[in-house]
Amino acid sequence: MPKPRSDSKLKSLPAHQRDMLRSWLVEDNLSYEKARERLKEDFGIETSERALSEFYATECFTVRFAQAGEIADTIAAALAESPDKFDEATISLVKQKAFERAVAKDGDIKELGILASILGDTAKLRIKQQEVELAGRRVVLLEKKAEQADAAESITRDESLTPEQREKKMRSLFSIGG
Amino acid sequence: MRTPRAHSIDRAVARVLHNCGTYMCPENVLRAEVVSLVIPPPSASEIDDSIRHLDTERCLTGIPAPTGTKWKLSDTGRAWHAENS
Repeated sequence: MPKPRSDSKLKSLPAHQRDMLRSWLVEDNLSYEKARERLKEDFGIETSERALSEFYATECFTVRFAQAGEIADTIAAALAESPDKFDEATISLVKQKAFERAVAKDGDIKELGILASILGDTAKLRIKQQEVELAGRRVVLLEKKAEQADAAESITRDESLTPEQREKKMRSLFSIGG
Repeated sequence: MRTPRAHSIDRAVARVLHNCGTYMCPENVLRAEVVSLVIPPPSASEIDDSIRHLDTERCLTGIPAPTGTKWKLSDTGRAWHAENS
């Protein structure tokens, strides 16, 4: 009977042992050499570093990246539906950051909440600034109109002007051509 | 001409970036994953060489960031990965 491949042993590990191995490799960032020793000590399983690498590639790496993508997509969807109305650029940025946090072995998803709120505040602040600028431009326009009205009134009251001169001054005041 | 060892590191780089899908992969994450995927683990200079090679072949798109370059597979890189995975 042929000896079973060492990587097939890892594929057929009971769920709790597989979870444990995954946690050693991903969360504890254990080297394959150390993980191999621990597998032998704790579960009495002998394996090779190549088999562990294969286990990591199929059970940890691919799954972790897929989960990170899902987390980022979920966060982006939540932001898009949020009443705070985040713009596309903000959502893309948070999405990318979420992916980076989720995929990093030492990443902390909680930081994302802080990031989202900071970005949200920044977006709100920017909108507020735009509103203030707009209000400022409106005031300048109103002041200009008030000045024109005063000048027009003094032209109308100036009795030394002929009707032609008055019309000319009015046209010039309101920048009317012809 | 790439050695079989260099080619296996190139494949690991492409594999990591392929798994990132539409997201950019920070270089530190890319390096850590490549170290885990290749046996024996490649050195920093071997990974440098691989990134440089794939970048020269226009397989990668890199965006410099304050915390290090972020990488992604280009269309050429996706094709290269499909052929070599």
